[in-house]
Amino acid sequence: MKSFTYVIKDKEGIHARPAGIVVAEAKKFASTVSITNKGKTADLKRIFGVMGLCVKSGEEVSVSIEGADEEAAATALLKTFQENL
Amino acid sequence: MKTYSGTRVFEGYALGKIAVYSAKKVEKTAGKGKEKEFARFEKAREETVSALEQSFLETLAKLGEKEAQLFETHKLMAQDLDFEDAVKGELENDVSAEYAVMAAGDNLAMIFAQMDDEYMKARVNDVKEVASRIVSFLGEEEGGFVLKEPSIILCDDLPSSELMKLDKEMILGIVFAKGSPNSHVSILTRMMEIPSLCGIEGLEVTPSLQGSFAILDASKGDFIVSPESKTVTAYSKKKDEYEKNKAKLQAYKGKPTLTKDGKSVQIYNNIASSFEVENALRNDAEGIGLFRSEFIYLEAKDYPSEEEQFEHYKRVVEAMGEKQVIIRTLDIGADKKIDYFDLPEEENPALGFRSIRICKARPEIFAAQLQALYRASAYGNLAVMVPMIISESEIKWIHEMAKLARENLAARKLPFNKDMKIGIMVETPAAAIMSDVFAKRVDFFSIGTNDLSQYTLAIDRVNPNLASSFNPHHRAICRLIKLATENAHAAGIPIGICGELARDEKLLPFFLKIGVDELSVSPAYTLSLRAQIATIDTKDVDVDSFIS
Repeated sequence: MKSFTYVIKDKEGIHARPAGIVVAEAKKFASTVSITNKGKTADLKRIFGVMGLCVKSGEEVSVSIEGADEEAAATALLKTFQENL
Repeated sequence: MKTYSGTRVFEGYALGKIAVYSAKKVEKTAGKGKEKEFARFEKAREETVSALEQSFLETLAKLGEKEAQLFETHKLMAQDLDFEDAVKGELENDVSAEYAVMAAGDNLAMIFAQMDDEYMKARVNDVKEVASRIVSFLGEEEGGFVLKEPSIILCDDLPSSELMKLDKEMILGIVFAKGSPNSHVSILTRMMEIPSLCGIEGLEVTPSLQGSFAILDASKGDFIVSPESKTVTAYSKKKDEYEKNKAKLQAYKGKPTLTKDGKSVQIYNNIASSFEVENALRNDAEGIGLFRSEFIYLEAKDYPSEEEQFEHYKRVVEAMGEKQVIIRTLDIGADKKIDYFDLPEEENPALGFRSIRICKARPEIFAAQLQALYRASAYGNLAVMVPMIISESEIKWIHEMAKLARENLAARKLPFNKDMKIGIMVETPAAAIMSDVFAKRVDFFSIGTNDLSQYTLAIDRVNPNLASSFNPHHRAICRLIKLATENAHAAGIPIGICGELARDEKLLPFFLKIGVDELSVSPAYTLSLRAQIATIDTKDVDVDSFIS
């Protein structure tokens, strides 16, 4: 299993647009990907789950990836968070 | 001829035939078995996804990546497994795929509606839009909404994907009978600069209106159906002038506001919601002179929390960057009523329980608002003004409340600007007459000419029988404005005008001559006012002619 944490810098939090971008990125991989914030966990491949976390600016999220391509997925997802959130 | 009025989404004029857009109505009907219905859903979803991919590309080409990304998000919503599970769940009850999709969409939308976040609440529309898009592909008939000739679109609400599919050349204007200026489609409408209104009172969207001639005056907020021919002629002229003028005025963008003899004045904007800030920026306003905070209270079902207010204020303050934003504290009562405030009926509401008077009686409301404002002050150049002031004791009370708000935030370790400017509105004769005393106690004045006129003349400004006697050029009003301006300057504080009168052609030379520092008008008038000011030489203005 791979994991990383990230503090959201986007001033609107994880709103619809970037949520779409990270979910689309997660879906490119076979591994299961989950995101946790304020004690709640959602599937990072399900946009309603991700938006439902209602993550705000300045909050930390942790992302865990498990599966055959977890290495590549972790690198790609961290980059996606950094570039979009 | 019938005239309706609504809320402006984007200013401008349109004259033309109405094209009615109506979303498909979905009834709860039995399906042909859950496997068959699910297969229909899958096929429609596939078509929706490829249509959304097209919308993405069209929007990318027309407006750029940021706006287009939302269609990518819609696509992910359509493909979402939670959504699919919800549809499957509905299909267990042997309903049609149409009904299952709408019900699943409504259920997911509810989750967003319940979130304690204004932005997420607004996403309810995205979810519903995706669901109705899938439903539209479930239908038998092909095609969809197309404009065969240039038209004014009339709809309850329009999915943004439908808007992007249309040929922009064919859209003269849009009337969203329901809708909010905050929806995604409204934002796109503004980006595309299409004259449009939303939230039209008493207008029912029926197919019978299809093809009727109509006039849309989105600058004023009027929608006129089946106008008389003389009205058409008048508006046609107005529209031409507006467009010619608009093109000419672009030259004033990015320029400072100066009179012919080089006197500088600032043009600010009056806005009624945090979403109108885009209009102010596009029209090159030098600041926001009046942000009506009431809209946050009017849209809410209960007292808005500090957090909710903070988000709205912060959005405006951040969007304006270094430019000043003056937010007016709660101004309700009189003609503006809110249910949950549970205000008593009054015989004479204009002279009654309103704005600061309500705040003083219910200090917890004012405290929450001040805390939200102070918090937003950390994010830009924010100033606060309080309406309906008549006495020094009110000003003293405001300062005490401000001190408490600062202490509250300091204890909570939240950032704020401790020197945030606090000003008052001069909109009662009492405030104007006492302005020498008040000027020493506050950071700025802002003259509210609508109320100042009605209180000075003792004429109800909405009484149609008195409309002809209501003379805002009355010398008594000009004297009060001059008095307040002189007293502000003697105390070294700035003074602005934020009422309708700020762009009054006749009084403009007077305001410039006496040295009013800032004029605040609706975004649409910013550039024309700058152009007009450039033609005035204050050396030629005779102040006496306005006051004696």
